[in-house]
Amino acid sequence: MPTILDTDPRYEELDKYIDQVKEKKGMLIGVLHKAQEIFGYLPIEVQHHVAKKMKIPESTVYGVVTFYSFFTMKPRGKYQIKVCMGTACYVKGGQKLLERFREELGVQGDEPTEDGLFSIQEVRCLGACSMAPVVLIGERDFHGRVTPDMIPKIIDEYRKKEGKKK
Amino acid sequence: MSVKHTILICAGGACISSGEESVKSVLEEELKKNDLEDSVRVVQTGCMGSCNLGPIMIVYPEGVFYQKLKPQDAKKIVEEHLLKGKIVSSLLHRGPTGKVEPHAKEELPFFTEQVKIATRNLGLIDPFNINEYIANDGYFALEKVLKSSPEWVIEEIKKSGLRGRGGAGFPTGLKWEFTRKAPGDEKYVICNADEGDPGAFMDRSVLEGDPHSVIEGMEIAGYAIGSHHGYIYVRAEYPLAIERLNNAISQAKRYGLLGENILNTDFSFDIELRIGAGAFVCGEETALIQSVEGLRGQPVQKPPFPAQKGVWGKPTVINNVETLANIPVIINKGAEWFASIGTEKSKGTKVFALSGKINNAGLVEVPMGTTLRKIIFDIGGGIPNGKKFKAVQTGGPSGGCIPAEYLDTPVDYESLTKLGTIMGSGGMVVMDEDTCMVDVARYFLQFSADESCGKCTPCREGTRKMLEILDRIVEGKGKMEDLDMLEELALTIKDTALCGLGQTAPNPVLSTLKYFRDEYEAHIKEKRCPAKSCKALIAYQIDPNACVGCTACAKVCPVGAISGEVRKVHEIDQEKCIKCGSCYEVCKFDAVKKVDAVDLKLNIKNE
Amino acid sequence: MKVMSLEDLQRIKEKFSKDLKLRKPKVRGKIVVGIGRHEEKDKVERILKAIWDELEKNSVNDIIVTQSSGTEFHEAEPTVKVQIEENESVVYGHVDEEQARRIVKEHIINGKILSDILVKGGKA
Ligand SMILES: Cc1cc2nc3c(=O)[nH]c(=O)nc-3n(C[C@H](O)[C@H](O)[C@H](O)COP(=O)(O)O)c2cc1C
Repeated sequence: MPTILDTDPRYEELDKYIDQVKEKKGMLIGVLHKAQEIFGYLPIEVQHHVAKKMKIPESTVYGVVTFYSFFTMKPRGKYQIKVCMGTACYVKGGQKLLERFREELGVQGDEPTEDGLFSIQEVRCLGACSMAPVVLIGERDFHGRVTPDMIPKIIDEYRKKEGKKK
Repeated sequence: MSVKHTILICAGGACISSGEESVKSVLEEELKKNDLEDSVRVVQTGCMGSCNLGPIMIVYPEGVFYQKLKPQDAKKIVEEHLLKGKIVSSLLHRGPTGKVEPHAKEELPFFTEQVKIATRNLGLIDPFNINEYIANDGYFALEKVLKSSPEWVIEEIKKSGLRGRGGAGFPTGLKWEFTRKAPGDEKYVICNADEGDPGAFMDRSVLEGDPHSVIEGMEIAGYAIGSHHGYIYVRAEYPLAIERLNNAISQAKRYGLLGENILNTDFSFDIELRIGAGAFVCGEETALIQSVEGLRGQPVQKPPFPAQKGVWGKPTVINNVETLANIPVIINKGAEWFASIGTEKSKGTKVFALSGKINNAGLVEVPMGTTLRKIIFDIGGGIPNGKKFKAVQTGGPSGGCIPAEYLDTPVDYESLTKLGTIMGSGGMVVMDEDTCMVDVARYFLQFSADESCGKCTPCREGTRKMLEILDRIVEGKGKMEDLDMLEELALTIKDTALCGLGQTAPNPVLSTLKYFRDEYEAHIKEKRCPAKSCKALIAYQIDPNACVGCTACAKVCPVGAISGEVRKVHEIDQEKCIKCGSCYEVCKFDAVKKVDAVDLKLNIKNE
Repeated sequence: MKVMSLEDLQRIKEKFSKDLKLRKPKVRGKIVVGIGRHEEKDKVERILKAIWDELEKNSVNDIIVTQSSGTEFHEAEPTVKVQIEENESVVYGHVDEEQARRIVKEHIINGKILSDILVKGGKA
């Protein structure tokens, strides 16, 4: 079931980027970063497109996508909740945060919530150990020294933000 | 009008996360309102190191150190300090007892005990401004090197005794010499900025706070080995570092300090960024090379070493961020100066990232040979909440845990190896009495098992097997034979794994087995977790003598396991309780206790 | 603007190092209170407070005060090391609050070395 059609206009942006970096060697990972930025995830049809455009075997592209945890073949929530599982966060209760987020949002793994707003991801050390335990929402919103009872409020903040937009 | 005050604001990762940007924008607004824009200069610097005090501001010429700032505090500083010349004492850092009030950064023990070489510019210069880097002797080393022979550069680095800061501690000068001598028409320099060890943020801080020092270091390496092309491999988790590096690279190019004909000589050198994609093993040098080439980051057998056959099959030097940041200073101040710092076999300084159960979490740089006690207690300020120090973990998933009796060990490559751990990249995670050492070992092993690339069997299968055993033990289902089994598996993996990841993955288990065997035995024989941390072995109970019936716990319990009326003693239904610990955290009267689950069952039976 | 030579670098350095100089507090000297044993932290705090108090009373604000563990003179702890400008440092031993105040009044303000509690340096 291809979810992204061949005629999707976003391919144009991706192709432009590929043309820009074509001259350089070893750019597959960079191109996949760009593709994921554009599409939000890397379904098989996007991978095939990249393979064809870069003249790389489809199996190589698939191999790279599945090797690196940053790449995902499934869509993620609009707000990705990244719960840090680094050592400092772990000894300061990161696991409990993860459990509470799952409970509050009613999800088991990294699938998005029904409304598509959130998905939860366990991530490797974010390097913000001095504020452990930390949660990163999206790319920039750091929440430091989080305790489980702060979580409903944090989630609400984003729900409100969305509500306002509508 | 001349500048009367300079204000430094820390824009390190931790300070940004705790709201530095809004503090800065209020400050700027207030300066504008009070017409102080011309007489007060505001500079955003890299990480000052005292990360748990953020956001931080230092006001010069008085040098007053303001900490834990909220946006509105910026207004106070403008009105009181800048306009009336009065120090805002409520925003100063308090001493350990909360009484003594040092004014200046230079008076805080956290700073006075440090010697900064690799982090010399952090918290001093604006990382976006190449002029400030030059003002602190930046690019002078490059200029000096371009007037000398590559052989002289290599000799100088060899004489300095500098060893790799990325973990293994290989002598940097030797590595450069091998690569210079390796036959090949093209050669490469790679900066390893993958910083994968959980609990480590030294490289991140250097990249964000002083990107030019890494660039200059790479150029010097390039000149020494005869290379014209470098890659910086940064992990995708560090978007700020990527942004600042990109900015620094284009500035350096504009100044003619990078690119074609550097400093008007015939030396040319170019740097490209490569962004990782979340695979720990890519920090290992052979895997990193694969990843730079855009492939799956799987390690390959050594030899050939990267010095002979690296990226694109060409001789390649791979150096860590901190290693490279040391290079310009060594060239400027001389190998002998550098070699006079540190211990016999470990020269210079080391940057450590202090975190975990410690008062002054943050970034510190100290001479090699400084004792753990000095780092953790004098600089780090000891353990919070009056708890007892139990262990310090160094070296991440490749390292081990050091117990209290070795706190007086001077830290260098050799002494740590002797203790069964490694220097590693510099993460130091401090653990107190509430940390379960079996669970810590399990945590690291889980990490290694997850991050194993799967190419070799000992690492892929061996770490899984060990993890299964540890999972059993923390659940109270372990047997004494399991400990022998763990040891045997550990030694086999160490001997047979393909790369450093597998070879070192068992270290956290071996070191905890060595120093904390009693904790393993308590889990197995008594079904008790001495730290009261392993979920399966503990239970929560309300102390009827301490409970005042405030209902806070009942309200917070997500599964409705707590019952009791207002102002009456509450009770936890053990059948319903999911041991989330919410009641424990919310209780202000210390009435919720963690107990060993085995004792609870006994009580129930006795009733 | 391209940097073509050492002279170009020096010109930039000269221009911008003025800014960096403004990022160091103006200090004339340093007092370091040294004590090795951790259980005596209280004592250090009391000495520190006395020094701070005395400095403030006399409006001295160009002296940095810090503490350090593990001095060279274990048997004489608590010690107080005084370093004024580039002069050779002077160490006093067995210092209490009273002596600490004297150190500020006599040594820091009047430049006189207190020979009766001297451990190292300063030809008394
Ligand atoms: C599993 C594994 C992960 C590693 N991760 C890093 C890392 O994140 N950063 C780093 O500089 N070195 C890392 N290393 C060490 C590198 O392989 C290599 O030794 C180092 O980058 C060489 O630079 P240096 O000599 O300057 O230390 C890792 C090694 C292993 C085995």
